[in-house]
Amino acid sequence: MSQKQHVILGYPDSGKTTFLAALWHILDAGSASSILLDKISGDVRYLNAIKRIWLKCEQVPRTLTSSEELVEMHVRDATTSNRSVLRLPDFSGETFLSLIADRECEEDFVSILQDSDGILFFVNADRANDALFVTDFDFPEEGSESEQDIAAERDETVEADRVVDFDPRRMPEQTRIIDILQILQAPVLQKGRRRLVIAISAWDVVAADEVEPSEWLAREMPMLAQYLATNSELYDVRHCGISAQGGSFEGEARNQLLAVDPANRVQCRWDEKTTNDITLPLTWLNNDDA
Amino acid sequence: MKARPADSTETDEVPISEETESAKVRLPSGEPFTQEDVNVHLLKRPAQMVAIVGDTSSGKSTLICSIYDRFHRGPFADRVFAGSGTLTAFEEVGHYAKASSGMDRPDTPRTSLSQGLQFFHLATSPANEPTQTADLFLSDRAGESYREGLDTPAHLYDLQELRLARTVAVLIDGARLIRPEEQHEVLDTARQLVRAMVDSGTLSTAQHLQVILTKRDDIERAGDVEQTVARVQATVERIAKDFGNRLASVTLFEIAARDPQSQFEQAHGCDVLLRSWLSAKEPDPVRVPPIKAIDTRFDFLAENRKFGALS
Repeated sequence: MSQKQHVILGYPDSGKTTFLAALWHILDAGSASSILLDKISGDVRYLNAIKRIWLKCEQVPRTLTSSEELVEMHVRDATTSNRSVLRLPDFSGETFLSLIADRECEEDFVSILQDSDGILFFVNADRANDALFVTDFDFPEEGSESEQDIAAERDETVEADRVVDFDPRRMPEQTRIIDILQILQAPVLQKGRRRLVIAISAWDVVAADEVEPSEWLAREMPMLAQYLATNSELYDVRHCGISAQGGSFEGEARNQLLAVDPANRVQCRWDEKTTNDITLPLTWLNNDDA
Repeated sequence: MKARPADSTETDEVPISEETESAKVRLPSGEPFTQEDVNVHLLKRPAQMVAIVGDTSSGKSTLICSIYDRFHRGPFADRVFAGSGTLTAFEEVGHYAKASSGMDRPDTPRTSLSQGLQFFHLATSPANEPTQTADLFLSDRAGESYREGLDTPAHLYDLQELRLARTVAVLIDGARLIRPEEQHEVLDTARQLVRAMVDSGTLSTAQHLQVILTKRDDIERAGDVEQTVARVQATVERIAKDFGNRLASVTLFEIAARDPQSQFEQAHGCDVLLRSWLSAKEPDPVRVPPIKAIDTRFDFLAENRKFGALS
């Protein structure tokens, strides 16, 4: 039996915990998927807690996501019946923020990253553009009357408060993702070529755009898309759109979601097809010996 | 920008700290490279090095950062972003040009003397051959260091980036050039700096000299563009005439790295620069006349083998 360990990465609010909650439900309930659960080992309190919240169509509180749990799931490939042990440590988004800000990490964390095979990296499709430049906005010419008017109106203290100093935690998300992917290739963590799934959560939000996940990434995070294209010897990449919530948890939309079988409200855009099977990217990560 | 600790090593070398409680592993810093970091990198694979030289506020850091920033939006100069060992440094220098900084007008923090010599690393690939990655190191140091060299040319010899870079780019501040009281001094300083670098033996025939007219947007808005540019051209022609035979080449470029009014696209003219840096050629081997007269076919073969004409 092969031992596979994949890490789920993502910054705060990237949707990875919601994915884990939905995944746990689908495996535990024995729903039709490309991976089936044989047995679990370890404490599943955390998984059960996030699953219960997910079943009620509620947001998982941030405090819960800070627990860093490692659960082993003994699974079987539905097609090949190959058995493997899936270990999915769920690190909090804050852990990754501190990694790029402090430039050091715990040895235990290094061991888990070193022992990991595939990477499932989450980004949220429901996001604001965080890489805008000052010059993307119109503003009055230097010394012009309108600028002087604005300057006169502006209180100096307000101006000082408004300007924010550099903080690596607030770098554009695509820069932060490239940073982590580069750190994973530093000698201390390097592990040859890894399979990497860029999982775009809240995929239902961009469904109307009729783009594939790889096209979405090239459109919304062009520098990351370039990095992945130029580093194919380090990362074997696939893109995936995931809607683990199935839609909005607000108002009438929530009632509609509650009326649906939980396993059917999840959506996965994988290999140009939309299905309810969110285990497909994991199956691909598992089959990296193929 | 924080200075790196004296014992800092190249980003790829990650020593484990000696703390006993909760051992921590140090990760690559993302900060600017030191000369030592660059040397370690060069052991692994070749790279092009460019020394960006210019007075205080002439636009050195802005030029470096504006090129990196273009990749945030997509390919630039027919090249795609392939990575950077100084990612945090790029973002820090470019922070006040980002809307998230809360600034109304883009700004670049000044490089201070205490920061010494630092390098930015940018890896890019041709857009149609994404795995053919080429590394570029761009030097940055406070403008005051180069000014000292005007009075004491020997001081320039100690600025190692000037001797090691394949391309040495001397920046002429376009914003100062449009002020009548400053224009002559700005051009004279550029010419004098080149003389000091050549006469002190700092530059050699293996190196390309570029004169870069920055802030082209300011010149455009000041009017009288043709005359201003013509004055710079005349200066560069004179540099080429006086020192061209002691350098691999002398070329003039015009850029508008970050036009606050967006009349010029961001990094205007920098695409040509980036291509020139990546394609800067090594000098052709100098053919020394054979000591021994070529009498036989073996002598002929031996002579040609020296220059790689025959393998």
